[in-house]
Formats: sequence, C-alpha cells, structure tokens
Amino acid sequence: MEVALRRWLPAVRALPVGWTAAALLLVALLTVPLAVVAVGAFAPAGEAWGHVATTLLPEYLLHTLILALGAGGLALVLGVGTAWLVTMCDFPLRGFFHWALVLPLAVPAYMAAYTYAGMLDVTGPVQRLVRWLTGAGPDAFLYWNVMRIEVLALIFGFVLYPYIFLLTRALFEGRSGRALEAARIMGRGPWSIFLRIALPLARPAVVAGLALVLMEVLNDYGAVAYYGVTTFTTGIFRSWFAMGDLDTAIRLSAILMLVVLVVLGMERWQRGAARYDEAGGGRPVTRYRLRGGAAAAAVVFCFLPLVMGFLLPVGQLGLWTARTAPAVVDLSFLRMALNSFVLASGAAALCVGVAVVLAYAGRIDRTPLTSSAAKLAMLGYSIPGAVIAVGVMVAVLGVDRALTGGTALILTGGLGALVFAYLVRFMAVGYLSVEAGFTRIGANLGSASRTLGASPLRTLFRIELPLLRRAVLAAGVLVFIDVLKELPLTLILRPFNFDTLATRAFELASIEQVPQSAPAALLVIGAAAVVVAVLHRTFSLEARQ
Amino acid sequence: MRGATTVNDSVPDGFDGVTVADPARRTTCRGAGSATAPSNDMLRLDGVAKTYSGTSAAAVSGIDLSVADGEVLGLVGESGCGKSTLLRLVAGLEVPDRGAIRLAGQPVAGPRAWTPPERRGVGMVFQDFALFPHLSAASNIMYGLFSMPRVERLARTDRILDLVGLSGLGSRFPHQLSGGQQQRVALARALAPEPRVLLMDEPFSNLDSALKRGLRAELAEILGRTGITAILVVHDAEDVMALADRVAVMRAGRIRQIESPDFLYQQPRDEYVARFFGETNILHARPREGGFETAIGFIPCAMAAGRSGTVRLCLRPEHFHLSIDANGNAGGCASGCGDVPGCGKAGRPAVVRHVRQSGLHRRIVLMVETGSPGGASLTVDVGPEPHLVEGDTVYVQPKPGCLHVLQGEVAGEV
Repeated sequence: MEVALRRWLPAVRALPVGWTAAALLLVALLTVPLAVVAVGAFAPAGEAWGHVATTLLPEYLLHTLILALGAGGLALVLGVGTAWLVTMCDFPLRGFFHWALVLPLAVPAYMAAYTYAGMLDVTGPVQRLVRWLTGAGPDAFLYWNVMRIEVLALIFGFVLYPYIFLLTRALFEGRSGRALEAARIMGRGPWSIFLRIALPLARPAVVAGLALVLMEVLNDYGAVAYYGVTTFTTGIFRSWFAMGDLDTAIRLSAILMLVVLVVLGMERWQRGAARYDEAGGGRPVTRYRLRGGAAAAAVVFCFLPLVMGFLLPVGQLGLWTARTAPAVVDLSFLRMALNSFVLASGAAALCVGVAVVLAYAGRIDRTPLTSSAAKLAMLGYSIPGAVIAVGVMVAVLGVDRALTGGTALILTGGLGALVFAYLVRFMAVGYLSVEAGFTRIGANLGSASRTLGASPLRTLFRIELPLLRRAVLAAGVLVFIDVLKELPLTLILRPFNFDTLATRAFELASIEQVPQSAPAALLVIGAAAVVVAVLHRTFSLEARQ
Repeated sequence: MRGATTVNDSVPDGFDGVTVADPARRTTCRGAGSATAPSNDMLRLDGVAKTYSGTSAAAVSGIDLSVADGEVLGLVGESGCGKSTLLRLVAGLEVPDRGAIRLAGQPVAGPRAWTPPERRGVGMVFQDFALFPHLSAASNIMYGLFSMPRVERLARTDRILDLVGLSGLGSRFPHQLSGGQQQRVALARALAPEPRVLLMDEPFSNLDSALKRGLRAELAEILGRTGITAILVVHDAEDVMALADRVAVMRAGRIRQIESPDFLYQQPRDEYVARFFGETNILHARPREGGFETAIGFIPCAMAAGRSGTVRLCLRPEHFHLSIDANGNAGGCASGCGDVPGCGKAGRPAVVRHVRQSGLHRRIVLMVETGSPGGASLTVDVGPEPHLVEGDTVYVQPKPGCLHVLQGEVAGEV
C-alpha cells in the first residue's frame, strides 16, 4: 500500500484537477443512494420490522429461491444449448437463430407474464382448446390455477435465457472455438467434446450469464406483483406504499442488495482468474453438419425459446392491440408515449454525458483513482431498481428537509429525482460503451493533440468526441431502451399522475385490463426489439460483473 | 501571434522564413554530465526515474541528460530499454517518479513543478504517426495553430507542406496517403507550432527500408534547415549515425554512454555499446609490458600500461591486417595499411570459414589457431584482392593503434 502510494504521489501532483474533481463528485453523487440504503440498514429497527423479519422474510427468501432455481435452470439449458447449436452445428435456419435468439431480451419479464396469464386463463386460447379437445364443460378447469410461482419461474427463464446465450455464444466464437476445433481434429465425438471440453471452457461465460439472469429476477416487480408472488420487491412496495413504512423498505432493500452482492461474489469466486472472450475470433469454426432427425431436433430446440420468449408474447400483445387500440390509443396515450420517449431520451443523453466525463477523466488522469471510482458508479446496474428508488427517495427527502426545514418538497416527487435514479441504475451501460469507444481510438491521438497545445477539453471536443460518435450513439440508445422498459424504479419515483408506457401497462394490468395495456407494451417491445437485434448489446452485458 | 500561448515566445526564429541555422550550433557536442553553461541547454534532465504501475523494474532510472539548443540527440538501445518512456517524460505524457526536467531553464516536471503537455511547447512525432483520421492533412497540420489568425495559419501550413514535400496534398485524408506521406504529415504537424524541442519516436519503424533511406536524408536536411532541438528514438545504428549530433545508448532504463556517433564507434564504453554500433570482435586480454596478451597473440599497445587483471579489447573488422603467406606478403588490408608501421609482418595463421560480400569490402570469418581447442573466431574486413574462399589459410594481425579497451574488468581466464 505504502509503495503504491509513493508510486502514485508524483502522478497525483500532475492530475488534471478539474476533470478529476468533476469525475469524483459525479461518482460520489451516484453512490449516495446505495450508501443511504447500506447505512439505513444499521439504524435501530422499528416495531414493524420484527413482524416482517419473522413472518415475511422467510417467505420472501423461499419465493426468491424458487424463482431463481426455476428461471436459472431453464435459462441454463436453453442458453447453453442454443449457443452450442448456432456456433458449432450447421442446420436449417442457423443464421436466423444466430441473431433472433437474442430477441426475448426486448420483452420485459412483466409484460411476458401478463400475456401468459391471459393465454392460460379460463377465457384464454389454451383452456378453450383443451376444453374443445376433451369436450369438457366451461367450468371443468375453473380451479386450474396458472398464476403460480412455478409458471412464473419458467416465464423468466424463457425471456432471460439470452443473457447466457449471448455470453456463451461469444465464447464459442472466440478463442475457445479454436480449442473445440482442436479437440475435433483429435477425433473426439460431438457429445464428448460438448460435455468434456465445451462446458468446462464455457463455465465462466455461463456463470456470468446466469448471474445476469438472477439479477433480472431479483429486479422484477411487475411480474411477481401480478402473479401475487411475494418477494423482496413486493415487500418493499408494500411497506412503502401501503404502510408508509420507509424504515422497513430500507431494511428489505439492504437485504436484497446483500443478496445481489452474494450473487456477484459467487460469480467472481467461481470465475477466479478465468476470463471469457467477448468478441468473435474472425474465422468461423468448422461446424457439425446436422441432417434428418438431428437437424429437425436442433430447429425445434432453437424455436422453442424464440416462440415462448418472444413470438407468443408479442403475438398475444398484437392480438390484444388490434382489439383495444381504437379505444386505447387516444390523445392521452400519445402524450404518455411522448412522455416516455422524452424522459428516456433526456435520461440517456444525461447518462452518456456523465459517462463521457467519467471515462475521459479516467483516461487522462494517469492514476487508477478515477477509473476505480467509476467502477463504484457502475454498481447501480446490479442493484434492483426498487432498492435504488428507496435510496434516492431517502436521499431526496433528506435534502428537502435540509433545504426547507421539512415544510416543502422540492426534489421529492419531481422528475429530477427520477432521472437521477435512472443515472444511478444505468450508468454502467453508458460508461462501458463509451469506455470501449475510447479504447478503440487508442491513447496516441489524444496525446498527439495535447503535445500540439490543445487542452484536455479541446482535445475531447476536437479529437475524441468526433471519433467517438458511434460509441456515444450506441450508449445513448442502450440507455434509452433500458429506461423505456424500467418499471419498479419509475413506479416509486415518478411524479404524481405522471405515466410512462411501462407504468401505464402495469397499472392497466393490475386492474385486470391486460388487453388494454397491450398497445403500450407493444410500443416498448417494438422499440427494444429493433435495438436489441441491431446492437446485440454484448458489451452492456459485461456491465454487471 | 495575438493570443498565442507563451510557449513559442522564447523560440528562436523558426522556419517562418525557413532560416538556415548557425552551422556552429549543429556541431555542439558535449559529454554527458559534464559541466556546461546552463544557459545553452534547451533540455535538461536530472536524476529522472519512472516505474510503470504493475511492473517492478524501472522503465527509466537515474537519467541525467542535457541537450543543447539546436542539437540533435539520438536515443538508441534494444526494445524495452526505456527510450520511448524518456520521450514521453519529456513530452509530459508521463510523470516522473523522481528527478526534474527543465525546458529552456524552466522546470516542467519535478518535486514542485508540473507543466502539462499542452503547455510545454514540445512537438512529438509518434511511432504510429497518430494522425487524426477525421481531419485532412492540412487540418492535421493546422491543428496546433488554433491560437493564430486564420490567414497566418493557412500561410504557415502551406510553407510547412512545402518544407516536407507535400505541396498539393493538403486536402487528402490520412487514409489516402502512403506510409511515407503520412510520416511527413506527422513531422509537419509536429513542426508547425514551432516547438522548442522536437521528439520523434522510431520515425522509420513503419516504413520499408527503401523508403526509409530517402526519408532519412530528407529528415536530416529538415532538421538542419530548421535548426530545431530534437531527440530521435531510433533502433538502427545507421539511422542514428546519419541524423544525430550526439547519441545516448540506453539499456535497462539507464544511459550507458552518451557521445558523438564517431566516438561511440571508435571508443565504446562497453561490449553492449560496441556491439550496437556495428560488428565487432571482443577479445579478452591480459596487460603485459608494452602490450596485451590475447588468444591471437601479443598485441603491442601503450594502453596496456598501468592495467592489471583481465580486460576486454574491442577490435572492429577493419582493424586487422591480413597476409596470405607467412612472410607477410600481399596483404589483404581493407585500407591504407602501407602507412601503418608494423604492418607487413605476418600474424597468426587462420582458416577462412565464411566469406560475405558487404559493399566494397568482403567480410570474412576466420578461425585463428590459438593452441586451445576450437581456436578463436574473428570477423575481418578485406578488400577485393586477393580472392579468398572458404578453407584458405591466411595470417592475421591487428593493426597497431586501432584497438580499444572496454571499461570494466573481467573475471576468469583469457
């Protein structure tokens, strides 16, 4: 430590003070909500907490565990299986599946959950088909409850498996693909290679993807609330909205944050020194040519998650939209859509702006100071939106109290707090994309600019930003989509009577007007699908590690 | 120069009028660390050290160096020896851990000083040229002139394009230029703001050897015409001898020797320096009365006086006299040996092992009989006559007065 300090001391003297100060200040701001939650957990417990801890907490943990196991298990099988098939095997439609299997990422889990509830309930197509086939009466399956935690877990698996698919596919297409080819040349059969070489090789990527799946499960509020499954997020909402018990909300948030950190820690621990490749390695690997039954099985196996995670939910939303759009899509719907897009654009622009400041400060400061600080600012991407919302709420209430002595709410319930929370949650998406852009440019152009007399600011605007255009745009689009889909954080922090597409869809669904929620949902999914298909968002996936 | 940075204020007349520098200035040549009038130093480094994070070995350490105004200093050494780090330290792209750097007497890095690169007035040509891909050649060159009025800026850009032989190509983008042209743009861009010191990092490493020779001559001329103080990092001894007034040989982050190119060739401090500047024969020798006892016989030399132990002698390939018979007839000396007293006497018998044509001379490898098994191998230059082939027996003898004693004693036997 002392040696390191002495080494950095001369560089500290040469820090670009303005940039470093700005970056550290931003990081400090972005870390406040998480710090508030962490600190709040150590405050003396209120009397309600005793009840929550003894009766509700075990239930939350159990439900979370069931969801995690079901979603994780299904996502593992689907993600690894499809990744292996599209990279190592040749079969009809392989090229299509290669990109299309990413599409379920565009479907927010809660929206998929609504459509499945609709499809499977008494008046839905599935039960009608079964009744028609069996000739049973209209009340034969009345007590056949599909709103079950197991069903929900599977739905999560079907929409979240692309995280595992993407990382594993990238690994097989990268340097590890060469190892698989080598094993083939040595005469190993495909199953032997898959089980004994591919799976061990893919482990870091698979586990990283699994960690992302689990984080999404922990983040969800819309789906579990609709299915009546109590978890941490429903607990946080209940204690905050129904009971006005901020203390319990903070404690639940802190425990949820701890669970996330445990998931992160386990991923780190099992990965050890192993790295997974991120990009393709140029030359495509030689694939197994599948024929007849094997080829048909491969096509079916790839179609299954695509149908369940994307085509069915989107199809159902399309049908509903066709039925309800004339009534639903009116001036207020358009205003709400505009609200969503303006809010998401603003948050995205701000997020990318901050990301550029952080990444550029880290680039020119010659010490690990700013870049380590930036890592802290990225933590928010792993933390469930509800937790961040509670942290922001507490922080903002505190500021208001300090400013007005508790007489008025300036920041609380304003758009500012909401946008700030988006920054906390999605800073990693913007930062990693911008950072990757900087890395591609290399350091020499900036250095050349400096030796030609240009200040860091001038260098940023004249050299780095023009060359960073694409990375900045990509970062902005990714954040835009994430904000558009975001639900729990928006529900907690949005101003009174302020609706986005996501919150509107949720509200309509929760008053059993699911078909009426479809146009809003379809608009969100449509925008997201375009972006997901184009950008594949490989780089934003690494954010959470 | 309204609103111009203060950087250029102390710069002597540049190539606004493309003045030819005082030739006397180019010949300034002083030994490292020797006491000099500080007023004449454009650049001075005192005890500069830098270790990169994550590494234990210092990239550079204990660097004392001064470069006179108008001097061209070459930095040579094997890759990873710290040459480029030294350049980056001078440019302000790295911060030294210890030591101080002064530019024209002003501290720019040190315990209480730090001047960022943009305020140092130091131009740099990067190894990969680092041309801005989104700007044309002319805009690249103009980039550093932003504080100048537009008319002046354009005029200077034209003059500079002319200076580096790129008139008419200003509107091209970097990817539309050849490697040699990119190199010239990079040089022009660095020269345009009239820096106090020009730094060039491996200026020829990205060019093929035919292109390189032409560019080297041009660069020598441009350096001469502008009279600019320059440091060139080069890994080729030939390049540095053609361009530099003085050369610093670096190894493992330290400067081993800093002298004029001729001096380094003739009197290298140690084997590393000797081998860096051309082919050489290193002989272990024991000082005796009036000369050195070596594996190829006794070599009379006044330098043996007052020495003891085992020393190493450096003998260049042209420092030998060959005769084709034991009587010393028909010597195959490369040049002018008739004037050297003692030449003409037969030396040790040796067998020709390998003959290689190298320009006018032929370079041959000899195996000298020494009495010990295997003998000793010598590399020797000979003229076109007599015609020697593998297996011929010749007689070889160092020319008197040509050998050079390397510093440091050697443990072990001769």
